[in-house]
Amino acid sequence: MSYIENIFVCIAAPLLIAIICISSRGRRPLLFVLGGMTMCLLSSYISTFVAAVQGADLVTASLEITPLVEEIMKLLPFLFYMLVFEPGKHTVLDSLLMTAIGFATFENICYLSQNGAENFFYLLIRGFGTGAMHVICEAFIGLGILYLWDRKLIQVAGTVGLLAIAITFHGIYNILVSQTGIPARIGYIMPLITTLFIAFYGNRHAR
Amino acid sequence: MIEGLENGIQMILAGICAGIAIVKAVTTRNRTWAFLSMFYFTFFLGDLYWALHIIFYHKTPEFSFIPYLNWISSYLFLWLIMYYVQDGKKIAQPLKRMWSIPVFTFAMAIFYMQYGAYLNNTITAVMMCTLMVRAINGLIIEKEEQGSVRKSYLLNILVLMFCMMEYAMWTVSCFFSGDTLANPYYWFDFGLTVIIGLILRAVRKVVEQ
Repeated sequence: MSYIENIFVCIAAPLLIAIICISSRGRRPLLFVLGGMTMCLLSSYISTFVAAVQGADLVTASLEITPLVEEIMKLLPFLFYMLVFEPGKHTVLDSLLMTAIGFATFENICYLSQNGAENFFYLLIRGFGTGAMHVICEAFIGLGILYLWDRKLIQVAGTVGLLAIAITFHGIYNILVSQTGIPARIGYIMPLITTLFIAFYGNRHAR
Repeated sequence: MIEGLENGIQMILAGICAGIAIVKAVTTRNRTWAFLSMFYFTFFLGDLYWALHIIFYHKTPEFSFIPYLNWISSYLFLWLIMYYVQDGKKIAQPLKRMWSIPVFTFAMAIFYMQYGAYLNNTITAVMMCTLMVRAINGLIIEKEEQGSVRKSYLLNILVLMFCMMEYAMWTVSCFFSGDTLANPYYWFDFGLTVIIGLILRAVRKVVEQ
């Protein structure tokens, strides 16, 4: 049995204190990291609930339900920030990436508490695979939103489409890493290749 | 066998077209190309997810949330291309009286709902309705603006054909089953694949003019 809410309290408490004490400039990134962790916790509950309602087994849930729930939940803190505070264009990418970092960090902590930290090589692959995948999905959405910034209607429609791409990317990653051998290796290097692609072309295109 | 082959051809074509559109979008920085690349990419990802599921688990996805979300998103990006090409022009006056489009799409949605998937059918009906309205709107605008070059004529026609082909496929699948060429579903699906490929040419014509 994994007490992820206990882990959450332990990790979130110092962050919460830091958010209260820190200057307003540094508060936003920390709030998004905390938001990402909170969304990870809630995703876990919601995925379990949806899987139980639909009668899905563990494999089906991880391939078909988890990507959908996690990507939607990961976007929620940013959508709330956008709709309520209407921030400038420059905050978009940072906010989304901080949420993804919080999400991936909390997911990795939960994984470590369940499976231990003995296997360095596997954890290295997991860190650069699953961790990078969460970040790259949000980076992709962020760059897309920046590109579609000028017209509200295009921005809204585009965000829904970009979210669908992020969900499918996550789903395909989960299918590949659930295999062994070459498909799993392709899955693990997929986020890194996408990172390189976005680093070379995405940033330049979004400007 | 036929289904796998047809899906494979469609996926490869969508992937190649996505690659071409992405290169064009990066080199020209034209937004129409960017939307087109997203249209192809979402279509390709939906097909890829479906194909990987069949390859590794020897069955179609149990809930199909993710592929359907992709295909609906591809309609959304197609609509964005039309909206952008028409420069956000409002719906033409004669079209406002054209009730037959929403009546048709929602009647078909109600028909498909006897097989379940209420939410998916409703969203698809809305998307198909908006796509067809935009396509006919484009044709009306070009007809009204006499003397102008009919640059998006082919695109509007192809989008209408795309919608009709989708409806033909969905309707036929209610009455025919079987993994042979005798099933008309595969012929319509092949027609859809051809139209998907032709959309690249139509958008290139729009951008170049």
